[in-house]
Amino acid sequence: MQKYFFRISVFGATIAASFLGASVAIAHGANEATREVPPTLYSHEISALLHGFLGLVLIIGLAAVFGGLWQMNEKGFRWIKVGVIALAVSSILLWASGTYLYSIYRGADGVKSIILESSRPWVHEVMMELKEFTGAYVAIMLVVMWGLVQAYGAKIVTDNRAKMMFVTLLVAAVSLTVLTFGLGAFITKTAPL
Amino acid sequence: MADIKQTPQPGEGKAFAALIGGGVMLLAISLLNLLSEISKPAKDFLTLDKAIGAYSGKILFGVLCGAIVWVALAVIFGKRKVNVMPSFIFFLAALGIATLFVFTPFLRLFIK
Repeated sequence: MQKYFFRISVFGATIAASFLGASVAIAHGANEATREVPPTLYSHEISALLHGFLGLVLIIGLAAVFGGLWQMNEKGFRWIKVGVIALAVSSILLWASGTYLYSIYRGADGVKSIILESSRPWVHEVMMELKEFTGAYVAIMLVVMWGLVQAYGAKIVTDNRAKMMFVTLLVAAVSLTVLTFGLGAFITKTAPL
Repeated sequence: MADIKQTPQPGEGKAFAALIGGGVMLLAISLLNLLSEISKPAKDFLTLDKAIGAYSGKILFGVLCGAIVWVALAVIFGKRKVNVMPSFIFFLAALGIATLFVFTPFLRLFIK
């Protein structure tokens, strides 16, 4: 258990350091180059950065849970049991942070109105409208997967039917997460928050 | 894949409840989205928070519907032997339909 705690701590510290480094760069850059810009501008960018980082952590975590299922033993089941709870909580936090950013996106003179008045209004009408919901769907799927782990317990790695259902939901969750991440990246590229 | 058609096991009732409850959540959210697009009063009713608009009501009521179904089915079927495959197929179908009903080009087929 100590070995896993150390590895998870190193991984977490790397992610946290990357996020802090990027945030400092944004704040410093905004301070130096754009003194007239209101402070909320770069705090929104930092919130958007946190949201993006959480999405990346979710994708990595989904791969780790798949790795646990691949092992098909007691150790693999421990990865799945802890991983699914962590992913369900992360996805809910990701959805919550996304909803906060959505309120800024929709605000007066916000990015939504900029995109709708641009030559590519479909970026909001199709992509953002889809992204709002696929992010919530991922959270629902991960909570259902947690429900399956609670129902089957350790049999999830040995029972063929349980394993088939879990893998199918895991692949669907990864696909939706990558779709949501990609939509977010394209929307941000079109008009940053 | 071998042995997918197995006899129901005790406790699979909880898996059944999770899959049906989750599917109902997805369907409810997407149907509320369709409703808000075709009916202005529905859109106003679903706008619980002006900052995020009708999205607030769609998610809250959709999740609540599914949660109620999940809990009710878990209480009724929790410890019984249940054939879980139909509920799994229902969940996958619900996911597909729910994704279609939040895809604007498809929604526009229903909006005049």
